[in-house]
Amino acid sequence: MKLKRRGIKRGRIEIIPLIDTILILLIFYMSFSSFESKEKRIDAKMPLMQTKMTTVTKLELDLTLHVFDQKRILVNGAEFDAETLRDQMRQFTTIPEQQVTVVIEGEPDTSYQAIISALDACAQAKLTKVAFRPLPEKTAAQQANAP
Amino acid sequence: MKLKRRSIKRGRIEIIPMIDTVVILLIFYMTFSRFAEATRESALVLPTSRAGEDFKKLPQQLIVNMYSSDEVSIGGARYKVTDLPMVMRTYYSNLGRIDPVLAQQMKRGDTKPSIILRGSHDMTYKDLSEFMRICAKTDLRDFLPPNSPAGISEVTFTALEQK
Repeated sequence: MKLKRRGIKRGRIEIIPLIDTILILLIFYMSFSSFESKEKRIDAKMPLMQTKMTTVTKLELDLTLHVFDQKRILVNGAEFDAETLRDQMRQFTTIPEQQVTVVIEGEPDTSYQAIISALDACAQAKLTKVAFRPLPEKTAAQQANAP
Repeated sequence: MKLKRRSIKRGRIEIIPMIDTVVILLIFYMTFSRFAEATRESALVLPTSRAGEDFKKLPQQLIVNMYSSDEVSIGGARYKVTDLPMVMRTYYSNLGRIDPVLAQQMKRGDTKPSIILRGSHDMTYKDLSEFMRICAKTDLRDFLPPNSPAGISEVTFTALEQK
């Protein structure tokens, strides 16, 4: 009896699974980009600070925010937290013909998140004229030398 | 004379151009994510905020990724915050070659040098204070109109959208 030879199968690229794979990859990349939290920008136009950093120029209504942490922010001496600060700051937007300048200051160990929360409250109240009062150079140097 | 009717061509999806298109889109998305990573470090954890506009980088803005005053990253290279004046001067001097129109606008005073600060959420006010001090001291007057004050006054802070 004669045996039939099996025909050699020629390798070929399967188009359909290829399209499936590429589409899945594409959907993955597109979804990934939208799942990522949106990055926001908060512009701060700061009055130019002198190199000595002792004064902030031209303050029509000086509003000082001393930030200790997110739960303790002093506004001209009155205490607020990050949530109540927003409502407080909104009151200043109703002042007519008045340019409000906000000066933010903090303790050396105040977290950046707390500073951004204060800045966020200002931005929500449409107060964009913001200045930061830097720490005195001595304090900064002392902090740097501290163990 | 009898005219022959043209046979109606049946519409069908061309597989090869479709694959080409999909692959190009895929490459585009992959490349784009890489470029975003280079200037905006993905490892950096930003603070969160409710307010703010969508992130947009203007051509005259320099993105500074800051972990602390000792660790600052600009365009993928690592620096200390004290190196910022040198980096900024290099950036704005190169701007004349890359974008002469923008450099001229700056020289006329139409646009101002500006920084986008992407600060890590675990940074402290001491680090920010150091950054502000350096910004105020940075002298870019060579690229600005005569009698301009020294220092950078425009800083944009970035944060993640609070949900």
